[in-house]
Amino acid sequence: MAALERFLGDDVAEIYKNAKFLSEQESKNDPEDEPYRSKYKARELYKEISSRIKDKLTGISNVDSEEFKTLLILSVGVDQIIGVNFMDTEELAEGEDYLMSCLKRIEENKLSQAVTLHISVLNHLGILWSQRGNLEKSMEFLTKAEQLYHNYKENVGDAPETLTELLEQVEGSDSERAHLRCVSFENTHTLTLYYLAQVYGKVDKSELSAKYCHMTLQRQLQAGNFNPIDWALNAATLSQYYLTAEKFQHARHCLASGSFIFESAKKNIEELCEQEEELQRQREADLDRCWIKYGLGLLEASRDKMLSELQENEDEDLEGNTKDGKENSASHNADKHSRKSSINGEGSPEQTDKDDKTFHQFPLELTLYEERITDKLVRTFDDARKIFLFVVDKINSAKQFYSLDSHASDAVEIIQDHSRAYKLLAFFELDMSRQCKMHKRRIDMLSSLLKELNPQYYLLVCRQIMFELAETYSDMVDLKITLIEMERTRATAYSTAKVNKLVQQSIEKYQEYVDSLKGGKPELPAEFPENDVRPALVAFFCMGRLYSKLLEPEIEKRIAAISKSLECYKFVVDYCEAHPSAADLLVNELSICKEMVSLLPLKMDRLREQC
Amino acid sequence: MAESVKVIVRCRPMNDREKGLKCATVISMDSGRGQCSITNPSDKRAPPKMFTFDGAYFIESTTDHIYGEVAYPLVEGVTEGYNGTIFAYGQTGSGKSFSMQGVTIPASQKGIIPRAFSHIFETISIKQATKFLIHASFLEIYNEDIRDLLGKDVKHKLELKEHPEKGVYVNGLSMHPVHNVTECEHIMNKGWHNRSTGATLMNADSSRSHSIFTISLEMITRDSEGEEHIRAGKLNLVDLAGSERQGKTGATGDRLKEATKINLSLSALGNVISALVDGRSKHIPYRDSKLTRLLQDSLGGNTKTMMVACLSPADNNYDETLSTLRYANRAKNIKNKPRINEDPKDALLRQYQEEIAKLKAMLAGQIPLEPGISGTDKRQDSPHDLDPVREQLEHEKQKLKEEYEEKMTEIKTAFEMEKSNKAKLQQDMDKLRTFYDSKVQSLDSRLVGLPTTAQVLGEEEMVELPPGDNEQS
Repeated sequence: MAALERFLGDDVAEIYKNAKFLSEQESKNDPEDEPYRSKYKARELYKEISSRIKDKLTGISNVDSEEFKTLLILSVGVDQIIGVNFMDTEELAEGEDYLMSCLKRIEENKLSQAVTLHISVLNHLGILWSQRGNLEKSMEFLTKAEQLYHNYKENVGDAPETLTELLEQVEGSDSERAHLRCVSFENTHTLTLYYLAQVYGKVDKSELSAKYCHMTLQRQLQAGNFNPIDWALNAATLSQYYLTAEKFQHARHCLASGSFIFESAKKNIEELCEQEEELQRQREADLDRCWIKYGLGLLEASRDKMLSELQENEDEDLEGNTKDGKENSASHNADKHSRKSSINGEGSPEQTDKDDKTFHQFPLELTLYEERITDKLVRTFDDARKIFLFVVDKINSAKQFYSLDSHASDAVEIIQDHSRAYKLLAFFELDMSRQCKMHKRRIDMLSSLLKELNPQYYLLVCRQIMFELAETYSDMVDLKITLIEMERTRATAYSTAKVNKLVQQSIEKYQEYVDSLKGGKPELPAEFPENDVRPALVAFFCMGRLYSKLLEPEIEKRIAAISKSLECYKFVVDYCEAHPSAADLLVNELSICKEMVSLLPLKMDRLREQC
Repeated sequence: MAESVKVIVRCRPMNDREKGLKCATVISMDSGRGQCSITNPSDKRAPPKMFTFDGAYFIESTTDHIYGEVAYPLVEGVTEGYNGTIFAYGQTGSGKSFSMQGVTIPASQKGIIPRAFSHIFETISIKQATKFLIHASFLEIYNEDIRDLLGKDVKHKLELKEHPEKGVYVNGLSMHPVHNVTECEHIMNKGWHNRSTGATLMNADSSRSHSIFTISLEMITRDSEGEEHIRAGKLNLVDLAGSERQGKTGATGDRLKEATKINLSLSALGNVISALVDGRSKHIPYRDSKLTRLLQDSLGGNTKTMMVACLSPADNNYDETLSTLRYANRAKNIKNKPRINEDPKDALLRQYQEEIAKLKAMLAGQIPLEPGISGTDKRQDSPHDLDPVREQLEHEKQKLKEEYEEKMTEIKTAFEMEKSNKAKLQQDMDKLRTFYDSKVQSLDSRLVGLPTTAQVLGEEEMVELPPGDNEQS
């Protein structure tokens, strides 16, 4: 028999049952104009129970007796329920009064066996202050709750009594009840961590928030009561956070854990109904997509690292050159190599050490999943290629669910990722004609995608693709020109024509993008939509550059190209004059455009003088 | 074309109940500036919170006025083949249905929905040479499940699909042909009715669900050559779940989610984690809600979109009203989702600086004029920049040619001079020779009688010099 019934009789136990039903079940059916009707009714019943317990308490003289202590805990427990009820009905001030008095009584009477209740009260106070928008205070209570759990675990250890077993009859053997106590205690702590994760997230302490999300996932895993598909997806989502923080080791660990849990819970298609099967396939594809982003993130970080190293070296070279002229170039190269290796050698282990201390791995055997892809930055084409192949594999797998015909937006994004994978791989490819071929692949897949999409519904995506196509053609222009340069011979008619063709295609795509801003009207709007100001002006800027790249042997054609180029630069300058706010979006480009606008006419004059 | 959401707020007058409770007004508006401010009734000394919208309409405003200013151009666009979306938002009793459904008397307060219906049918009745097909559909989103409010089975869940040509659509959603305003209203009422009965059947609270009523227009025009052109426009009328429940149910679109409250249930862990990633970059595309998906082109796409947020002026609704204002404010800031991610332009800019420096040097005459602006520097002496090199060569060739010609003339003149000199010489020589000849002849004649020297000397005959050749040597 539960304590409530034992000490106060079955009528009070009955009132409790009613109150609980009203609060948890009936409240869902409350009408729109009386949304808290059942909650109010339940509150009155709880209040009655509370006063009955208090009456009983005043009648007991021996405050050290077991009965007194139990009733005291019951009293605090019921008052907590009332406090929460006030919170549910948006009466925070009353809720706070009740919860604070609960807290006071627990502390004053040193009710250490009611630790689960104690933590729960602190949790609710944390929630209460978050609802009032005072996250500092919320954090204070939640941190106290967290500390309390650890103190109890350290000093006492066994599972503490729960409020539920005082209020209601709990079935089962002693060991089963002990287990329930344990579960309830641990779950209350999990909630503390989960709430802390949210509070940290809201005060922009992302790193801490991620840590507490991770701990929440960890505890769900330990407790064993979780939905494996949700858990897998949450772990994969967390990996995306670590990815943005460039913690590839953590990111891979979370993703591998997600895949592991998903695979072990995956069911045969025969066991599932149509909707479940669809969901399972979708979640599998979602995991693939997280892996895709992981691979791309790793390639991107590798590229950025190399670029920044190159930049440093260039700066150094520059310094060296001013001092010693050209003679030193050989020794400078030697420097480069030694510096690179030292960066790799020293930097990473230190960092990993620090991270390892705070990062607790999930207790799962993940070798199978983790050995498929590295978590280290790469430097060579061969290593980059391995990541690339892994990414392409995941892309093909994700596309099976996210097909263009049924999930167009998602499929588009996956194809864009595919293009990005080629682009990143091209960075690591030393052979320029092979780089060109990779860009050609991008052009092929993006062009055919663009043809499929109806701009009425996918205008913004179409614009992205047009812009990327323009950039890709432009990349190829630069590569082809460099190739011609490297051959150290006169350009053939063929290669000149090829460059000119690519220049034209790039300009065409930029123009197509710019034209899409006309919105069906013959002229461009006087002002571009906010998000398109920079891209549109950059498009003009790039077109200006491209026109000057045309290889025209005849002076007149050359002058015509320069004048087109001038028009583009002039557009940027004029636009920024008319809309001064735009100037801030492209400070560097604008100053170049201004210079070009003043220089190009002079150049054209000079050229004219010649013919 | 893409533009962000236009958001207007409208405040209803105090109702009888509020007047009876002697409620104070906490809302004030400056309609000219689209400003709305709200005073905290429990902290009167705190400065009022200010919000600015695309329109702010106070208690005396009429729906007629609002429609003319904001909704008219949007619905007009629909009859021209664009998509338009009107959101209605606000807590229960804030005047949402007054604005959307409206009343018949006075006529100035006829709702936005019946006005849109009349607007569409009036416009198409006067368009000539165009055939119109108009369909209506009505769906509801409750707990991420989509149901057809005009279908045979209201409980049946529908799937969201997306086709590259058709865009986002609900698979199996029933489409009902409508020919006039009455049919439109009839079908809408049927949907409303099904919505409430469905809610009772499923023990659900319809105020926690979103509903979307859609009128699709297909326009077929025949041009002068007899060819048919089809355009399609759509008007979405969206009723968003009330703000008073969104915190508890998470029913509101995820892009507008409540900012400060802690989520109590562990089932929302995914939201907490994705919030960590959201702000940084879009790495987790699968978390969009059904509502967001369905309206993806309304929330920043090829669609004109307006939101009407409805407010109560009474102080006892302060919290809800503030939350509605915040929600509307967030809606205003919804950015078009797919943005253009350009490649970084740093390298390009560096190249440019070099090019400009070179161009300047060129114009100053320090280096030869080049035709094209080359991509990078240090290529001046490389064959990459063909044109400059060729130019340079041409230049040199030209110079060489000039030089050659100059030399040639020099030589020629010298030669000519020599030639004329030579001719004179020849003449002189000839004269000389003739003179000598005559002399010789006379001498000869005089010598005839004499023996030759050789003869004299017993030598061979005298070697005769060829005329005029050996003189100079």
